[in-house]
Amino acid sequence: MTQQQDILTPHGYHGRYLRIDVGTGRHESIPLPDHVLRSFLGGTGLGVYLMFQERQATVDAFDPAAALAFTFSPLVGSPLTTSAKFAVINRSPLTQQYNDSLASSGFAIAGKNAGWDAIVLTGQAASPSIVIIDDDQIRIENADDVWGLPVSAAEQQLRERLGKRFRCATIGPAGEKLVRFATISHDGRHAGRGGSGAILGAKNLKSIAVAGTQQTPWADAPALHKYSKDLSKRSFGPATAKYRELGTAANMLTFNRLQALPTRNFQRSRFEEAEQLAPETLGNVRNKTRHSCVACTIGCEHVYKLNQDKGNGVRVEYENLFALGSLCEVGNADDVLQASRLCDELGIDTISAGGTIAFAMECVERKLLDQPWLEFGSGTALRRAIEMIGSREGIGDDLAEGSRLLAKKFGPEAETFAPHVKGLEIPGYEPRALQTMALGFAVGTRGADHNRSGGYEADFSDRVDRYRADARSITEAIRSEDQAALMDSLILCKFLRRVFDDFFAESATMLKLVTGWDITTDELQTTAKRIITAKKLFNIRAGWQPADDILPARFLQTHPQNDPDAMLSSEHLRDLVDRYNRSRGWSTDGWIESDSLTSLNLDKLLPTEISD
Amino acid sequence: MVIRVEFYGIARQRADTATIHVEEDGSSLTLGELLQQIVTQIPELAQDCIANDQLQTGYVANINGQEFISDPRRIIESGQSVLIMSADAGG
Ligand code: SF4
Repeated sequence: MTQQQDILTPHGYHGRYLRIDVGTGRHESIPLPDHVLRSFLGGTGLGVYLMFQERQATVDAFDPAAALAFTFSPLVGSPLTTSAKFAVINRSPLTQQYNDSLASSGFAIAGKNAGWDAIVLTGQAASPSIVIIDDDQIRIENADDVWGLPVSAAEQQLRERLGKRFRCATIGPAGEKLVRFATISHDGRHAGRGGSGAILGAKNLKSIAVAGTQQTPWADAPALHKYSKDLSKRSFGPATAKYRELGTAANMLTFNRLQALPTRNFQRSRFEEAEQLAPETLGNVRNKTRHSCVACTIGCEHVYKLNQDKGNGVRVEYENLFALGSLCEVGNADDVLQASRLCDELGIDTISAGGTIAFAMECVERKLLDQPWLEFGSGTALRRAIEMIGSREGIGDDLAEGSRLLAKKFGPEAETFAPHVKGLEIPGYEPRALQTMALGFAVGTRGADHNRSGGYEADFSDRVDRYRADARSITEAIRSEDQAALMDSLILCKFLRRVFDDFFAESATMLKLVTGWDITTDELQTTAKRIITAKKLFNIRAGWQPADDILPARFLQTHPQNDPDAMLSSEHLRDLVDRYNRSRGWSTDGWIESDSLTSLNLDKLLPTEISD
Repeated sequence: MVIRVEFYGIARQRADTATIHVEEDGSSLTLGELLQQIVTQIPELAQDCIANDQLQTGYVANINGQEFISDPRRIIESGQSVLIMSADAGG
């Protein structure tokens, strides 16, 4: 690549990011050269690059020097379906490791139109504030009027104050109180996992508002429109019918039948009351509406009315139903929907909330925690616990730390059944019955994660034995991580994935039409590996150890009470992890050797003192 | 012989029932034969769920809640349950 080419900004990008010190109000525009953009694309890929640029691996998430990055992508603003997405990247207050989370809709388009490929916030405001970015005009305003408000009320007030042109990413009271699994919300969607909302709270920021007028051109607009039209048409087909007609909640009965539905803090994998929480039942007894993110032709959001409720209803996802339902053994749909709404309004990740509360319920049962009201099956207890987390009152102050820190407080017995990997609570996939997913959870750079590894896809096929993971599972786990790394960097919605015959080949086409790059499938495979390796390298710099790639003892010593076949030993998992590491080109223990850095060009792309 | 067929997710929506039973002479039949029998009982599934003796993209079959299968020649024994469900388990 010539120097001349490198200083030209490719189509689809602005070639710069905005860095704001919210303590001083100082801001600067920092160039993003072509070779960096091509190497990391956008979304989570660009995010991990920025975390290195900002030297975040050893900065505590609540330190004023902590950086919180919002990244966009070349596809944002294009006619490609599901492309209106943004990523939030940070060192997690929950895991102390690399973290990214995604959300959708107007914020992505408005943020990119403001003229930036990414926005990085550092520093700490002296008092509650909002950051307002209006093209190149940056200002920080007082947020006293919205501080303490639940998410939807704060969003409404900010809309009235700033006008409809602005799109806001906002925290709820939980973020203000530094709940370690607080979310950042935008228009009913949440950058949910890993506690990015608490970082915004630590910076005394209620919201970041964006508006702009700077659309990026596309390399081949007519061909892009044609391709986008065809992709939209394909997105109406059977591959996405589940999402359109039932939503992710369709998993409920299927998982229950397969004994893969985590129940009673992973003591069981089948929930007697699953039927009550299934969309097939909910849809029969309540009004339902369907929504979609901006620029999406699928529309997977199913919003159900609460009984005797005049509000807007509750968006129902499988992960909410599992975490606040079966995991806590709450089978009353109204209780679960109310709990879900409470989490959304307080700005709390439902998976971590449900995981931590279910864990605490088991601690009560085992007499490790003296809170007799906090019992499995009680919807009242569930809601009370969520409220206490949001305000950090009483036991809520401990629960707000997440299950890993809570378990440390209760001692070694509790640590065996705290449901997390690297501090991130396990999502709704029983790992002993879905063992490719178990491997994905163990090695996940974000912790237990069903979005950065879709190992469950292989477990739901005849390509692997879901009860006995082997070499095929390792190949599948890597394939799935690579695909997710590319999807999350482009950024496209994962629910589109089955629409593509060859996702890497079509990604090359999309990138060519948008950016003009003559990019190959092989180059994109390397890009995906680079992004995954960079995340792992960040974790190593942040203190990762090989022993962190493990599941809690419960999963390696016992089977779910109802399913004796679902066994996974620690030796077996260790062997899978070792072989996964070698397949990635790392040492058996998972350390990254210099050859890997060189082959992926990370030795040149990342700051020298970090890649050394 | 009797085989119990359970539908989940979109397959249940299309079939408009949670379960059916397929009864045949003999002690076994193949997955392909079973799928053809299912379509005979529920023609609505012929559109986007079952084509000839195969499940369409987007659907998978499972025996007894344990093992996923796709080969149309795979033998199903009397008394087994076959689950038809969405292949995409994303949440
Ligand atoms: S499929 Fe669902 S989550 Fe994905 S972009 Fe569309 S509405 Fe949003």
